[in-house]
Amino acid sequence: MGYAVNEAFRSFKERKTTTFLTIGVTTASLFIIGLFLLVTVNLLEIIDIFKTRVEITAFLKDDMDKENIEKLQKEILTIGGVEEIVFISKEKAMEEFSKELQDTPELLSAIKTNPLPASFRIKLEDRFKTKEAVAKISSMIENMLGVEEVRYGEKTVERLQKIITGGVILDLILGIALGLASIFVVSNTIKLTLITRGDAIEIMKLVGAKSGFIRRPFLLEGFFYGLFGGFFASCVLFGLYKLVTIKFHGIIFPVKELVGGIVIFGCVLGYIGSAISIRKFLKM
Amino acid sequence: MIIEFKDISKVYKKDWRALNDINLEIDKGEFAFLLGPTGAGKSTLLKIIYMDERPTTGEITVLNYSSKTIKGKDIPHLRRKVGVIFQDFKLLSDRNVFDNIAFSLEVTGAAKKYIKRKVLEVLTDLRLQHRRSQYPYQISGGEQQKVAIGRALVKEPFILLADEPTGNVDPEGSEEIIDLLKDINAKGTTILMATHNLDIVKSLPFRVISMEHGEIKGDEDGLRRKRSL
Ligand SMILES: Nc1ncnc2c1ncn2[C@@H]1O[C@H](COP(=O)(O)OP(=O)(O)O)[C@@H](O)[C@H]1O
Ligand SMILES: [Mg+2]
Repeated sequence: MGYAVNEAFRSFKERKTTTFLTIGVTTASLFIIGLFLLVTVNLLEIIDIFKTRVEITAFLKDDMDKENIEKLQKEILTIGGVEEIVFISKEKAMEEFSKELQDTPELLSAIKTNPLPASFRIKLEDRFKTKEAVAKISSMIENMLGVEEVRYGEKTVERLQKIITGGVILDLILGIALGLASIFVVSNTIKLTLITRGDAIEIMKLVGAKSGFIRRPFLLEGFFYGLFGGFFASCVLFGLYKLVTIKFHGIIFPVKELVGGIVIFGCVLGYIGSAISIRKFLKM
Repeated sequence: MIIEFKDISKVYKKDWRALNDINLEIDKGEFAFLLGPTGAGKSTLLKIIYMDERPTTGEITVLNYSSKTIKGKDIPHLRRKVGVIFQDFKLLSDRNVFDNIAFSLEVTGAAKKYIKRKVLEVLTDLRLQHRRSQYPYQISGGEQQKVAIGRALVKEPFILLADEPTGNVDPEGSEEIIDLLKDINAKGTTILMATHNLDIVKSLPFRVISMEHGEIKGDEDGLRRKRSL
């Protein structure tokens, strides 16, 4: 192992420019990936806040008596995904409505009888706050006896969902594209190392070195490119975060997950990059 | 018998027959020359022995390894028992004499202490102690070949394959190399030396396997040659 580490570091010393460029490219790729992940994480957090507001309102027919209302409430509660249900009576609805109309009392006085229906406000469990689930639960409620109409923030639910999927897809595409770029650069650098070490490799094979022993320094070299790239990218990202939080509070930076993720991803990319070159040029 | 070629042919690039129907046996402790002009197939024959090339048809057995059944992961083990030296020495230019010899033990993961003892032993045998800290470019061709021999010997191989070992060495150095190979053989290591140099072969009472166009044209016993010398 000591031999492999020495050999890997010898490559860095012998070709400083290449090493610098390789680490530079992995750093840049991992930084961009990290940045987009960070944006996604924060977006998800904002969406989470919005999500708690997603609720279904079921308006009731006017002819419902107290007993029927209670029966209906129990029935709705049996639907999977319903977390909480609040009854809003006609009077309560009027009260809330009046508050909204406080500034225009003339409009309020024009209302003689209470035209507002009683309703249930139904809160859902978080994982049921998708477009499909909300729509399904709504239609189930709509078909129940005594329900006049069901409303939910169709548009909000839909929009939030689009943002989430869009963000995740963008992250994935970027992750794959920049990941491939890093793999490509590392594998090219390792190719250079393999070429300059050609004689040593030939001699190693000749004197009976096992393929694992021959491969190890090169795999380690690729791994180090990813490790350093991940480390530097994390540093830059964290620095940027610190800078931005001076002005904007409440930005989330999940240090362990993000830094850990970037560094591990970098190591994996570096390892794959060198493995590809070794496979291609070592032919063993 | 430690090496056996059975009906071996080697075809390069679809239709270039470098070896054609070779049948050959090498016994333990033998010293044999492989004599033939350039292109006769000597190097290919040696490569088949250390399994750098696989026969296109036929089978070779080296110790208890067969080309038909050996697995990739066993080849390093075979090579630890077969020493090879070349015309161009194949030394590592960034390592000194000691480290070049130590290299073949390092890659097997041997203990540092063992490596040091073994390398010093070999350096003494080769009378190269005074060169141990020098780099290949600082020593003569003959000495470089001795280092290569040392690298092969330190593994205590049962056979030493020498591919034109004197090709890049001046006449004086050549003589020294041949004497060294004789000594090594006298201590029990089998030697198979490929050469196109008839003069070297003529003066020595060893077995001569003559090759031409990928075929064995003659195989003269060492004892008979001794009588006629
Ligand atoms: N890797 C190879 N690919 C194609 N042809 C080869 C290869 N190695 C050797 N040959 C050919 O095989 C023949 C035998 O070569 P070689 O074994 O090197 O002969 P020698 O060592 O006796 O000079 C030659 O014609 C050579 O050109
Ligand atoms: Mg040759």
